[in-house]
Amino acid sequence: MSALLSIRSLAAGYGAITALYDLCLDIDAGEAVALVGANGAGKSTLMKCIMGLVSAQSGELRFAGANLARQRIAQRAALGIGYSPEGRRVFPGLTVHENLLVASRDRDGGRAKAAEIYRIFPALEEKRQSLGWSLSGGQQQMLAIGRALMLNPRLLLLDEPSLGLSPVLTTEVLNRVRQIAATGTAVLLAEQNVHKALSVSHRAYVIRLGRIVAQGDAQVLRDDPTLKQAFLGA
Amino acid sequence: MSQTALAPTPGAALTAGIRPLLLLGVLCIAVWPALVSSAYELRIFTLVGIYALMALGYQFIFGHAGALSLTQGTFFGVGAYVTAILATKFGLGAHLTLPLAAAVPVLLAALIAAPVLRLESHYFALATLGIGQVMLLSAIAWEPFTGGSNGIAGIPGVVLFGTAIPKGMGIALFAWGAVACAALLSWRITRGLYGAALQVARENPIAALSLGIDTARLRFVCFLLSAAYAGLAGALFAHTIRVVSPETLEFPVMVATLTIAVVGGRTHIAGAILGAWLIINLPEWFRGLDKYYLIAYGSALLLTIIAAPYGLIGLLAKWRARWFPEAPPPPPPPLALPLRSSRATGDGAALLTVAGMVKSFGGVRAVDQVSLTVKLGEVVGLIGPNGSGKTTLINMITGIYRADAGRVTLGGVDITSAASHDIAASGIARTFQNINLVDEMTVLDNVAVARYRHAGGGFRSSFGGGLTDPAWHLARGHAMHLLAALGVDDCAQRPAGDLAYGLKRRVEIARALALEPRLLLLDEPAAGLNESEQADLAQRLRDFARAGLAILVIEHNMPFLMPLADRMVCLDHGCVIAAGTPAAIRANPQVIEAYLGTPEDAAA
Amino acid sequence: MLSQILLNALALGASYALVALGFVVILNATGAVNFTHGDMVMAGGYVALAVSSATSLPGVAVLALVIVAMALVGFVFSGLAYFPLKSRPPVAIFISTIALGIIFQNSANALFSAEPRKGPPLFADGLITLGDISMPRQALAIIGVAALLILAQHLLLSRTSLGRKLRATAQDREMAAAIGLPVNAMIALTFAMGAALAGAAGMMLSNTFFVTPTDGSNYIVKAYIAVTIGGWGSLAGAVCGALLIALFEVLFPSLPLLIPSLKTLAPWLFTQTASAILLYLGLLAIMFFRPQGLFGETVQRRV
Repeated sequence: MSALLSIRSLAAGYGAITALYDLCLDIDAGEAVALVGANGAGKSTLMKCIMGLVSAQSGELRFAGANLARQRIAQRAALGIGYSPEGRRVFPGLTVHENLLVASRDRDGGRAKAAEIYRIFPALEEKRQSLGWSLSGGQQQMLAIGRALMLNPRLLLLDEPSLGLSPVLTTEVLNRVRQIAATGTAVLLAEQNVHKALSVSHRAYVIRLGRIVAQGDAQVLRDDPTLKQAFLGA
Repeated sequence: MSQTALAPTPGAALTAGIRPLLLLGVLCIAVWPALVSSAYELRIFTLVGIYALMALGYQFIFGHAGALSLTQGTFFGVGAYVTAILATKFGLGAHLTLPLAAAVPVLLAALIAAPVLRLESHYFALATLGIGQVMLLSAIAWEPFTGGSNGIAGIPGVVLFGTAIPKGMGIALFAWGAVACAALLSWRITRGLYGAALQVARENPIAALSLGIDTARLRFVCFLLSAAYAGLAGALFAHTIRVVSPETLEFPVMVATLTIAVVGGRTHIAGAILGAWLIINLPEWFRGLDKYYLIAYGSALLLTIIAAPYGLIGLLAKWRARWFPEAPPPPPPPLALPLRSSRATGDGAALLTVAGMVKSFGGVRAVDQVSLTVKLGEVVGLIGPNGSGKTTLINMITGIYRADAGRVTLGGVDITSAASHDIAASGIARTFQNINLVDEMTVLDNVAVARYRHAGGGFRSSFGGGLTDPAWHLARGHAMHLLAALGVDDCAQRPAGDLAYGLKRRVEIARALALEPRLLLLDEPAAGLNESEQADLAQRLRDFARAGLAILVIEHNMPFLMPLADRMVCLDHGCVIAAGTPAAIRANPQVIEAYLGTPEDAAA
Repeated sequence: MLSQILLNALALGASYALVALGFVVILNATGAVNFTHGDMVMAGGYVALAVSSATSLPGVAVLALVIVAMALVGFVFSGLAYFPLKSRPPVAIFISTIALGIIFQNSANALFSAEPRKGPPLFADGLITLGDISMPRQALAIIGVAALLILAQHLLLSRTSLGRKLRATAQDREMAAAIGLPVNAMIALTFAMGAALAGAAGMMLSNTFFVTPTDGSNYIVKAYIAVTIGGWGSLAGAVCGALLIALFEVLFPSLPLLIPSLKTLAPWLFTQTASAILLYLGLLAIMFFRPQGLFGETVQRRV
């Protein structure tokens, strides 16, 4: 069975800067995969590249068999990639409910799916009519994830959800990751907070200065010395 | 590898760039009056000169300073009215009215500059539009003074010290004489260090401030210059047409000037003249189109902004470079610049002292009671996870943010509330995460412009010298020395945008060193460099420190930073959580926790 | 007397509100200042003129046609002025809209001449008398129609699925694409909407104030002042700002009629010209002292 997302020898960056070198990565349906590494290592760049916000310089990006290189951002969303970006980026002038509905293509306008989202994140339901900008960091993060899920994506890209969140909230948000993966949506989680990320994922990749330096089962990786090295040097 | 600079041969100077075409143009202008047959054509010729003069002035604020001002037409109209009133009501001669016609708009510009110049682009444009409307309405309403809607008629021609300049050919030559002087002045002001400073301030204001360039002041001077040129053009207009009405203050005059600048070329002197010639003559050529000629006008403006953003002259220069490329001129010889090693105090006293810095955004403390010191000859590393406050701290030290509390002293001098460009001039040079070089300028010029303050940079100094600006020549010599020290001197004449990332980083450091700093502040200098480039950079930084420079480095790249730093400071959530040697920091449990989280953090 | 003045102010304010609303909607969607917006108002007036002299349709039917025609103009406009310059600095779009403004103005001049022309009324000219108050029919019609259009615009944006998508695109274009929205189509549609509103205002203003090819710069400055007063980017603020401007423009010169002693005090102050100057000076004062507008910023950032 071929992987849902398959990346081979990917190089990407911004203008003259290369941020990712020769990257290879696979994700299967229903898997929760963590991407850990120091700041500036390239995690967000990889996410943006998959979504199309940053162009690939070379290499191959395949999703559900399709070559992503020629697809624009909106087309990748339509293929089934959901994106919860770094910094959340909820629509500030739309209410929570509107943020969810605007992302839906369903016949009923998305009401049924929104109800499902409220079951996953009950705290959001209380804030249905609140505008995006007035939500706390944690609420915005839940909304960003919920919005990404409205299209029933096959892959959810979750970029640095813990930024700006307290440890308690981070735990609450990341606990959902397993839940979401269990419904059949693959999750790629880029996270600075290594221990938490590894504890909710099946597998993990460790990225350092644009390259994958370690990969494998999440529980096994937790005790791997390569991990500390990747952040603080030998 | 450096070559001895040869003075360019006369042949080379004449064929450089698009100069042959420009010389041809000057010849045509000089010959044209002799060929002209009717008084009408002569008047058109004079008007072209007047608008060229106004456009030359407009290039200062719109082209060089990069601010979309919509008052140029207003300054023109004010100059025209001043001339009309002084000449008809007070009988003053041109030797008085011309300078006054230039001076009054300058005063007006100085008056409105304070509130208006600091506004963002479209606010600025529309504020200037509003001012223009106020002047227009005042001219219509203030009848006893301005003649109301009918304006003022019967303005005499140019009368200098009792001698009247004949109308027709006389005034045409006088006007073009003014254009020649104005063009010479424009060239003089922008050919050297001042012009380079203007370019940086326009393309990258943050970088300009970090090089000690007072961007607000530059914009102010450009605004005043544009007003002076426009006022003089207005005066000439009044003497030529001999009638001044509120029409001279209306928007079409402004639109014509904007079109000339955009179509001709915003920063090219020849562009002002070519643009004026085209825009004034277009209605004549398209007379056949009768009422539709102005539509051609608008279409020309639209097409140019889409297809040729640098105007026709810019397009010609680009074609010349593409189809008839020429070798870049040889770089100037390097002039040594001491690296301040002789100024090392060596007594271990701290150069930079940061004490109790606090900064909040909204309700969140981004920086909370942070203190640190950096000594001469020392490399201090500043680390911390994303959002820990490192960049905010650096921005406070360099004057980009105002601290809520705390003190910053450099060599004993308090710089806490100093302006950003003054802090740069007092000895702190900064590099940026995303390398703020000006891509269109050569590597050499990018570095040379950093000598602005040291060369006594300013408007007055641009008047020195002859064909070349001596301050600029000196600056480029120093720049070559620094480029050689960083091993990038063979890229000197290439546009900075063409360089590979690693080389750009070195150019940026050369630029920082050109400030003769005592403290070097580097924001993620290793980002985007491969391993051998990182090793090279680390070695160079070690050498600088040994020569006496104080260095503060923000980095995430530990393999790069740990061997390099003498001491490290770790921030988390705005507070200092650890400080000490790299070995101590690496083993510090709080630092490890800040980066990796604790095992207890693992979700249930 | 006062009620007459207030009615005129309200009618003028309602028209200005349509102009300001169209302006701010395009601003929000693209971040670009559309300098041609005032000329779209003028164009609406001329289209109304052309349609009503060529046909004998009733005023409201003409209005409907004006709205449709101007929406098309808006579409085409976005293709000429905005999309080719999307990735350039906003100044380039400012200039391209100035260029198109010149083309608009001179096309109008060529087609209709520079004389002021009177546009068709929405229902009929003349006065309605209620008791001892007589009010111009057109003023009442303008207030009614403008209120309906503003309400329709509001409902479209806040209650419909399309409206949600337009707002999302205006607030964060990249994220809108990331959830699969056709961003370019949304922007083109926004231009169409802005132009349609401007055109409708143009038709309504052309009956009372006549229409000339150079009206554009006056309206763009009014729209700009309204948006600056109301808070850059706020739709409700733009409407309020427009009403305030109209109130000032109508009330201020009429003050001597209400307070006769003012007539002798400073007769030069209470003229149209002087009040226009005061208005611009007010704009400059607001930009200097309170750049975020009287009503603050529409969206605060919670850190």
